[in-house]
Amino acid sequence: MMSKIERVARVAFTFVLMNCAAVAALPAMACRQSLWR
Amino acid sequence: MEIVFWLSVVFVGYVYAGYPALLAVWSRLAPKPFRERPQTPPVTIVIAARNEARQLAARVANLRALDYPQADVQIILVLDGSDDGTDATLERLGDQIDVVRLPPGGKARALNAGVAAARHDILVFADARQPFASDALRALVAPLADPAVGGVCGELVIDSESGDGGDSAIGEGIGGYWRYEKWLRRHESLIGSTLGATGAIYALRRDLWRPLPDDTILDDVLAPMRAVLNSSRIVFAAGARAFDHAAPAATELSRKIRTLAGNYQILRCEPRLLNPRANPVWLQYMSHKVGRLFVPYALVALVVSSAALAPASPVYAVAFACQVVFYALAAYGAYLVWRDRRQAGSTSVAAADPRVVMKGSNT
Repeated sequence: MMSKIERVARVAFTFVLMNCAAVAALPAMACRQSLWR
Repeated sequence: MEIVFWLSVVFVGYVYAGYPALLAVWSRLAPKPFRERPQTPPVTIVIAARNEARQLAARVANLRALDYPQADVQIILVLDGSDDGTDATLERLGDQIDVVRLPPGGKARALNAGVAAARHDILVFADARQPFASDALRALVAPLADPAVGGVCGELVIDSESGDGGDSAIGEGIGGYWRYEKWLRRHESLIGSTLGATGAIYALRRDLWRPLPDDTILDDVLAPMRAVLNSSRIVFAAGARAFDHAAPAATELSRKIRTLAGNYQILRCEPRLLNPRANPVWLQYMSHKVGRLFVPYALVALVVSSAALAPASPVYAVAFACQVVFYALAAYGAYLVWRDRRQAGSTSVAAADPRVVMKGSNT
């Protein structure tokens, strides 16, 4: 069973991950990633 | 520095809390209902796939078992340069599907070819991996009884949404994030239109389809948003469900980078989205899609400004301390994800399968 603090920690990590992705998106756009996802 | 701090607070607060609050109030005070009616119009389901031989037989079986008059369902499978023995699978499927074979050219080009081969006026887009619920197609087309509705976005249900984290290393966080996104989508639909759709399950009237540029990253945002720019509504149908697994963290990160890069690309491709006179959902688009792109820079400004101001005032010192706690929690979350993956790797190969990806989170 997951504790409340673990749940919050995972959500916090996801939030940071999403924001890292937003920063990386601009150079990724410039470099044109593969056409297929 | 104080101005930087407070502007950052207001901006981040608006994007993640103020905008949802605005949606909640707006959808309560001035909802825009749409008419739904049970109906079964002829539909063309378009699936673009590359090297999905392992999935196709089950996927077609899922679509052919839907609670819908099968004579009115055309399934088009566009093979974009598949070289994994897909042909052998297709032979077994016989005449259940129409197949379009293309040299490798990307998903957007595959979708264009699929739509060109469609016989019916309602297009339904799906992916090779995410199965539909048996009543999904009926729920998806019901809102199209309203002529103002040009498209319908279905609901992608991620296994980790149940809250137990599923068997995915990052399931808990993604589950919460995805529930939040769907809440936004539902309320955006209530006041006008969703800002795109879920590639795993959405419908669009054929006359609203415009061929996509070959290098389109987010076909499931560009196509619906072009319909919105054409004064049609794209609404959310929660009953139209498709199912998927959450992804491992590394896969999820690369997917998010790609998705957000797609959001930049769409602004270049359709600059009318930034024009409040041309875009009927301009405020929502700026708040949800564009705002997200700038949040990380505001977060950095928040850390730097609060650290600089902390010695001068307890308010900023507390703000800085809160951020330290938050990022420490995030680091702990990263550790938990790493630990889960390691445990999953030792107990189950399937749980750590890098091919399991979450699709449809296009924000």
